[in-house]
Amino acid sequence: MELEILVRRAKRGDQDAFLELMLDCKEYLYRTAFLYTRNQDMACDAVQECIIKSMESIDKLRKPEFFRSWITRILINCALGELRKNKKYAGEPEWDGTEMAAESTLSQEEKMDLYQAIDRLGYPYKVIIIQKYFFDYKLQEIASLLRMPLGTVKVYHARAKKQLKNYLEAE
Amino acid sequence: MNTKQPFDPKEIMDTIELPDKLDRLILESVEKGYESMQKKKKMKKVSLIKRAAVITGIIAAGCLISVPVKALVSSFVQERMEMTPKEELNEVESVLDTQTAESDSYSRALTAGERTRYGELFKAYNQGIFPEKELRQEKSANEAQSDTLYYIQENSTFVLPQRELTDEELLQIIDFEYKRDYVLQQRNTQEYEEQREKKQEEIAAAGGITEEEAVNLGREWLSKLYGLTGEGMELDHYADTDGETFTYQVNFSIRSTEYYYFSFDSRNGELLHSIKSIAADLDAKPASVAVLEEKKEALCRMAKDFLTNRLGKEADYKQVVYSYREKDGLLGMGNHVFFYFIREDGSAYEIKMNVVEETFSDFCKIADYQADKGTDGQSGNAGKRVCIDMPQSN
Repeated sequence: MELEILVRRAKRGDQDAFLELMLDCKEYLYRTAFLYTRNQDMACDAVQECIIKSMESIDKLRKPEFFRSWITRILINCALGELRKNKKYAGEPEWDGTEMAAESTLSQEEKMDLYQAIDRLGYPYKVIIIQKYFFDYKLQEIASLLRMPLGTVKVYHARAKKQLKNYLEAE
Repeated sequence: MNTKQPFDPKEIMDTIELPDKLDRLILESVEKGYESMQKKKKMKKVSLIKRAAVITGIIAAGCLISVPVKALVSSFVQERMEMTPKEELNEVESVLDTQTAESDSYSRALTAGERTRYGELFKAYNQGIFPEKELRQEKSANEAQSDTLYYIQENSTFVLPQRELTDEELLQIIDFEYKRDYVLQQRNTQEYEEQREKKQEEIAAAGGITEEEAVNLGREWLSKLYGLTGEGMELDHYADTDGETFTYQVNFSIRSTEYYYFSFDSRNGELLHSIKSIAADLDAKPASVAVLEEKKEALCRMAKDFLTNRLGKEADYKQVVYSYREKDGLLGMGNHVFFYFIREDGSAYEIKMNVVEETFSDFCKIADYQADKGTDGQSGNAGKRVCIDMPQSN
């Protein structure tokens, strides 16, 4: 079923349509939340909060076709909120699953370095790097997501890359 | 680590294992969210019914002229609610209190014919056509009632007979829903009114139109854009101070069937967007892109006409773009096409038209066309988004 139709139904209060929407994008929601939090419990909490918040405010979603960017914004806020609430866990990454290393083009150590470097980035640099390099967002889309002018995002992007490079070189 | 070493984001994403409990977590979250959504809806409805009560009182006192909102569709309903015996309302309330399911469910989906009649009867109900009998209620499922419409109190389920519902039965459902909402609004009034007053104070402090003026504007635009009076429709309106711009939302609807949303800038009453949402559009068979190509010029002329003559906007745009969703040669988004009239300063007017019906659907004022376009980069299940410059003929 088309995304817009499901969104329209969800806007009308159709619970089944909302469930279908959430199940359709569950991988995206969870993996995005995990990229930000790097902790299964926090990622689950962020997804849960995101779903509830989005249902509470779906009447404010002006156009169904903006659903994905709209829910991404809510999810990122929830994930960052979880990080703030659980600062003490932020340094305990859960990237050490043995199955990860098998097909990777990066070694486990290199991955750890990359993730830890991303972790060290502050807001909004972290959002810019994750959305641009993991989700292939254009800077224009990130500007819209962060509700910032494009020029500002371009400057932040350059700074984020520089910071990431510094962190990686220091590892 | 070599920073120039490439990494594959998709590969990294794929290595993030999904927890086994994810589906269950989503299901539970949607249930919680739905409960919250329902509460919010009921709070909004309080405003409507409370206002109807005020209007009814004023009409009775013969002071109609002083009321900015001249006719509220639910005054008949309000009268009926007030005439309902207190014992009956108490019974409704006690059932509500014992229920753990906040949401209703149905034993089967309404047929297309039933949905259409529900819409018509909803209008009729608001104009004073009520059922002869009450909806039958049972504490739990009753196998013996297989050919009878009834409501199961313990899980809030409407059990529908396999045959087509009669008009009387549909009216009983509508009546039951109204009574339940009425009971809830009596309870929530104080809390809702406090929130509403706070929002109105925020808007008044910023200067601008009143909520009553916004409702009148809603009626005017409903007539001008869609040729409707709002008669028999449910009216819902509220101030929204959550966004950057304070707005009034004015919505006319026939529950589950037709919705017309208007958003006004609270500072000057400017129409920011209007949206028409019709249940029939959701079931419409997708038309081919070729149909759009054949009609695009005529549709664009209609859109321009709406923009200038109905919406009163100047034809000062420098570029016109049309946009649609396409998947396997078929149109997405319920057979709609968007026309963007882009102005020198980067702002744009968006007009959405139904390609098959050749009718106006939505209007939206866009502050930054490029930014707005940029937020819709994903193709997803809705098909690929296609944007094409419209040759200028004027």
